[in-house]
Amino acid sequence: MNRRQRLGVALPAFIAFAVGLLTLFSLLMGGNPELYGFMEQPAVTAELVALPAAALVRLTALAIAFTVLIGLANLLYVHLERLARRRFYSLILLLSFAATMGWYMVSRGDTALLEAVQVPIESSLAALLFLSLMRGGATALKRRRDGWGFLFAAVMLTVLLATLPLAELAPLRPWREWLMTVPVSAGARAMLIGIALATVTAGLRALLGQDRSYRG
Amino acid sequence: MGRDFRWLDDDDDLFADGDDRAEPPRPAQSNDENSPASILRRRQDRPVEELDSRLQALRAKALSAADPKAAPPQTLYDVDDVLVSPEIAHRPGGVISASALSQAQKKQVELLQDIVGGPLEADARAEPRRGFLSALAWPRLLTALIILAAVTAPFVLLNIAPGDLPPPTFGTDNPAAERVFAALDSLQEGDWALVGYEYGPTAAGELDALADILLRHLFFRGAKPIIVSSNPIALVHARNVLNDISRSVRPAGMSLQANQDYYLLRYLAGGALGLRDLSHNFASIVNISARGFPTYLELTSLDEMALMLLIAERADDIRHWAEQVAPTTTVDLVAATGYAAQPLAEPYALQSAGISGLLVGIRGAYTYGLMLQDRLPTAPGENLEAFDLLPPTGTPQPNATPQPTASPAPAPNLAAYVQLRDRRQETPRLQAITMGTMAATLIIAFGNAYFGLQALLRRRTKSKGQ
Repeated sequence: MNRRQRLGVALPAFIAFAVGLLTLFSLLMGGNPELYGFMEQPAVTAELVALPAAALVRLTALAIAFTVLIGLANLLYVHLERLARRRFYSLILLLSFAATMGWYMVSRGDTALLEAVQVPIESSLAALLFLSLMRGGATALKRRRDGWGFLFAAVMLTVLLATLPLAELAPLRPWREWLMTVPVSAGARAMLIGIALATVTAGLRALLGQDRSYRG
Repeated sequence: MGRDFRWLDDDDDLFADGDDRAEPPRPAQSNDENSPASILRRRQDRPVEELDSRLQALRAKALSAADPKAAPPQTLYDVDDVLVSPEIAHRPGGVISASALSQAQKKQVELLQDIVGGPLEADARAEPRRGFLSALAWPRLLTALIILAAVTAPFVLLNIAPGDLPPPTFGTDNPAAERVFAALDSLQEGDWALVGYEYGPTAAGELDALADILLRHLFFRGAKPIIVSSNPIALVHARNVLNDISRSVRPAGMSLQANQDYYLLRYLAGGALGLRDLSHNFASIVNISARGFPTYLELTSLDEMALMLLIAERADDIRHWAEQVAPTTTVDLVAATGYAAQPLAEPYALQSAGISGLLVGIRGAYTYGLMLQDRLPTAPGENLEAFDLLPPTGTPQPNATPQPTASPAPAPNLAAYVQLRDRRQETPRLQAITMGTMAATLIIAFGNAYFGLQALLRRRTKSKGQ
């Protein structure tokens, strides 16, 4: 790797590091006048410190919004290419796209198509998911026939039965409450802590230039 | 020593000769009889028959993996040719091996494939066709029919009323939902309420009831909702829900006007980043409506809101709002969500860690509606114009004999937003949900009992055989 190539690798990493550090500093220290009570105009100073983060976040949000447009253009391009190869499913997609856009413009912003087409289709998919989950629950002991499998099935049935609004099943409700507030809540918190740690790690990797995308 | 050893390349075939001995990698020849390579070369391997069953199975798997013809094509039905160029897709090993992966990463991919029980499903077109009522299909068809019959029964048969309806109040059983009601009920006329509308058509069946009743409560209190979303479809759906509310109050001579009674802002791109942008650049975001027109709102900060209300489908959206928006302001955030996101939302709501109240599911919406109707002094449909729920104005002098003015401007009767709801229509729906849950629970219990008994019988037969 010659000097120019090394510079090409180092420069993006340095820019990422500098911008990341500036944003982090601005987010942590900006917008809080109490931190700058020793200065003449604490409110103005706090605003000034918060400004880089606000500007960079806005810039990134704009860039992401622009990628949505690029994605749309790419989708149309890919399906036009597929249509040229006589893939007629692509024709349906393109016609649907044109019809939806046309309807929106002709009917001056009417969005009835969403309620008439998209909502029933996606609701049907959610119903299919319910059936799949139910089948998975019913065959839980088919795949795993050890103590953990039996425990899983017992917990699942306890929670489901206690959810039913039947007076006869009222004795199960304290068990359900305990399951939801202790093990389920503990699992949920563990997941949230895991997400937070992973986010911090990913942020640190980006800040230190260790992320793969910055290493060339 | 270093000269005798070489790393294996991708092209090295460990079992190329088809010998029935499990051969190790062959090191390069060496003249030194005491070198590790020579020792390794002189070592006699055990015959395959002497290996235990686990190692034999491992060897068979390795042999099949080493044969490129045995590797199934890794294609996703009708998707790979869109996402991946044919040159890559047709390489041996498919997309994964063609992309720039290191040896260690390839091994991790293989390990993951091994854990999940093999590579991705092969092309569905290559599978043998199953009949509509084949032995594999009929249990699914039967369970689907049972569920269908259970959920339609309350609509068709009037004498089926399984289970209890939700309670008329949340009370001490559900303090988090009670806090949502109290927060909305404390709003005054003209207060601003920021509404995060974060659900799409998938969750419309469950969350539309919640969104409808919460928005009606806002209008009933005279508050003005400012609706934002990081989901573009959700904004379109929100407009339709608002149009439905507007249509429902038309008989009372009222309607909702965009950019007057409510504000629908543009889509927040970037997920969590978009929400952060909302809290940092609120003044510029509230200036443009969803259709790109100016709203003329002179709001500068989230602190000017009286309340933030989030209606979300996914736990991630609740997390983003609790982490990116709530800490940047002193305004309370209350949330409404479905049963699926409840477990991950509760850690934020139960200790008021970002969210001060949580309303869950269609049963929560039902109770909320009953509580809202209890705020009205008369029964539904009676004397709509008889009372005025607006807060007292600046001229509180009572006038026993009100004189009509030349151009009467009747005060809008905000109670219409709540009164015109016929909650009796929701009863069969709740009963259908109860019936469906009951049928699903029975099917799950039956399936697990069947497979559990099967497992116990097999274990007993095995122990007897030994």
